[in-house]
Amino acid sequence: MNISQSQGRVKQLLGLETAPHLKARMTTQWIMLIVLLSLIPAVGVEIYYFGFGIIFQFLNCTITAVVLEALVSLLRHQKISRNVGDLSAIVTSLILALTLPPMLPCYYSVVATVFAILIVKAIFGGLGQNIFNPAMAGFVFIMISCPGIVGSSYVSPAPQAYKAATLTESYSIIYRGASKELVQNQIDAMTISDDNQESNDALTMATKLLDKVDVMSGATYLDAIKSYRKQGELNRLDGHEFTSAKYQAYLALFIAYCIGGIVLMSFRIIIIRMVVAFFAAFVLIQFVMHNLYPGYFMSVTDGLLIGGTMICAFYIMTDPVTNAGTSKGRIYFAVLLAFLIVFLRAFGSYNDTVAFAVMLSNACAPLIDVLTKRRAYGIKYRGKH
Amino acid sequence: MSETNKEIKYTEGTKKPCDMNKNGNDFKSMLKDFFKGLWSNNPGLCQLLGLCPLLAVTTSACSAIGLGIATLLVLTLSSLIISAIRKLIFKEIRIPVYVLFIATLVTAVKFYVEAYFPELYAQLGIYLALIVTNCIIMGRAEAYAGKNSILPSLFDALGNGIGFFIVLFVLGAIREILGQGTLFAGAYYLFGDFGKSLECTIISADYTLMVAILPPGGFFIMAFLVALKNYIQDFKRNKYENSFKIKSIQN
Repeated sequence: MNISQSQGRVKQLLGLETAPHLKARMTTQWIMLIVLLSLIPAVGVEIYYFGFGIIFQFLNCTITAVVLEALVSLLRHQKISRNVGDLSAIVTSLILALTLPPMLPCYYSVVATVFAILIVKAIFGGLGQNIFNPAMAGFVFIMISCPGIVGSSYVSPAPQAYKAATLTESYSIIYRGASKELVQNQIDAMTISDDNQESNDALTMATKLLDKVDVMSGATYLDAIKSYRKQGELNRLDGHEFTSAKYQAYLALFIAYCIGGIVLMSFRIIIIRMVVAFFAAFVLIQFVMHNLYPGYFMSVTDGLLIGGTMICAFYIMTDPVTNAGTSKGRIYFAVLLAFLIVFLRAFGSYNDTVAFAVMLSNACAPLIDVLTKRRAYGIKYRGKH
Repeated sequence: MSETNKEIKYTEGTKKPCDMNKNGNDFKSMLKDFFKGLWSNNPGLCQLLGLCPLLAVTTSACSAIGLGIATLLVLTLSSLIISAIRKLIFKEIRIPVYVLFIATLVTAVKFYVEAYFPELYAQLGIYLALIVTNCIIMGRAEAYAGKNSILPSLFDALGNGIGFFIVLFVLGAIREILGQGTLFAGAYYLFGDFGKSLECTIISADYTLMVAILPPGGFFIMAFLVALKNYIQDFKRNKYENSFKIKSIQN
C-alpha cells in the first residue's frame, strides 16, 4: 500500500516539467485539423475531375495508418489516444492519397502507407523525429517498387469525371481489380463531347480525335512531356490552353491548393517567407532554363500547374519537421527544392520528380541547419575578430 | 603493434585475448567459439563485416547460397593453413602472407566454380574474386587463426562461415520473395534436378515490390534482420529493465 502510494507521488512529481510554463494556443492537433480542412477544396476538385478514386485511396491509407500508429504506440508503451489523436497520421494519409494515382489497386496504397508510417516515421522515433517526409517517402517507395502499375493507374482528367468514375466503378477498380480502361474511355468521351459543343468545325474535330488516340494509349500529359524531353524536343509538343476541358483540371487544382495555402498562411501554420522564396526561385529558374533550353525545360505555367508543384509548395515543403530549422536555412531549403524540382523534371527518368526532390532536400536539411546556424554575439565572424 | 591490438579489440568485442590462449584447447571452449560465430558474434549481423558482397549478391537465394558456400570454403581452409603455419610467419609481414594464402585459395575456388557452375559464376561476377578482400576472412585470420592452434581455428572458422552463410541465405531468400515472388529460382544450376524441384513461386508477380532487389531494399531488410537479432538476444534483459520503468512518465 505504501509502495503504491509512493508510486502515486512519484507519478505526480515526475509529470511536472521545469519552468517556463509557456503554452502555445495552437496544439499539434489543431494544426493538423486545419491542414486537413484546408485540403477539402483540393479533394473536391480531385473528385470532380478525376472521379471518386481518391475517396477510397484516402480510406485505405487512413485505416492502415491509424492501425499502424496504434500498433506502434502499443509497442512503445505510449498512449494510443495521444499518438492517433494528434491526427498527423491522417494528414500523411490524405497527402499520400492526393499524390497516389486515383485508380491504384488497394494493395499498393496500403504498402505505401505501411512504409510511410512504419519505416519512415515510427522507426525514426515518431512525429517530430522523422528525417524524411513520410508521405513523399511512401510515394517514392511505391513508385520505385511498381512503376508499371503506378504509371498505368493515373486518370487523364475531364470535367464531371465523377459521373463516369462513380463510387461503384472506382470500388470495383480499386478493390476488385477491374480494368480501368472502360472508365477512362468514358471520361475521354466526355472531354470530346464537351469540346464539340464549343466548336464544331472539322479541323478541331480532327485534332481532338488525335488527342483521343493519344489519351487512349494510357498516356497522361506528364508522360507525353517525358517522352518529348528525353529527345530534347519538348518545344515541339503542342501548346494547349489551360481553360480547355482537357487541362481545366490542372488549373482547378492549382486554385484549390492556393486556397488551402492561403488558409494555412492566415493561421500562420506555414511560413510565408518560405513559400514566397520557393515560388520566386521556381519561377526564375524555370523561366531562365526554359528560355535557354526549350527542348528540355517546360514553360513556367506548365511547371507550376502540372504535377505536384503546388501541393509541394504549400503542404510538403512547409512540413515543420523535415525542413531546415533556422529561418535563413528555410529559405535556402526552399530554393534548393525549387532548383531540384526544375532540374530533375528536365533530366529525371520518372514522370514527376517532386517527391524525389523533396526527399533529396530533406536529406540536405540537417546540413543546411549546420551551415546557417546563428553566430553567437562576439564570436569570430567572417575571419574578423 | 598498437594497431594490431586495436584490430583485435574491434573484431573480438568484449573477449580478452588472454582468455583465448588459456582455454583455447579444450573442447567446450571450441564449441563456445563455434556458437559465438553462429549467433552472438555473427559476422553479418553483429560484426557487420563483408557488407559489400552481403548486399550486392543477395538478390536471389541461389546466388547467396553460392557465395556463402564459397566464402565458407575459403574461410575454413585459410584459417586451417594460417593456424598451422602461424609460428613460421614473421609478425611484421603477416598480412601480406595471409593475403597470399587467401588469394591462392580464392583463385582455386573461382576456377572450380567457373568450370563446374558457369551460370552461378556469371551471376556472382566480380564478387567471387572479391572474397580475397572480404574482411571476414582477414578478420578471422588476424584475430583468431594467427593466435590459436589448428582445431580451435577450424571451429571458429566454421562457426563464422556458417553464420555468414545463414545471413546471406536468409537475406537472399527474403529479397527474392519480396522482389521477384519466387524462391530458389535458378537452383537448377546449383543442385541439378534436385534444385529444379525446389524452385517455387510464392507471391504472384503483380504483388512483388521491386525495391527489395534494388540496393535500398537490401539495406532495409539487413537493418530489420539486425534489429530482429538484437531484439531476440536482449529480450530477457529488456524485459527485466522495462519492469523498472515508471509508466506514468512515458506519455
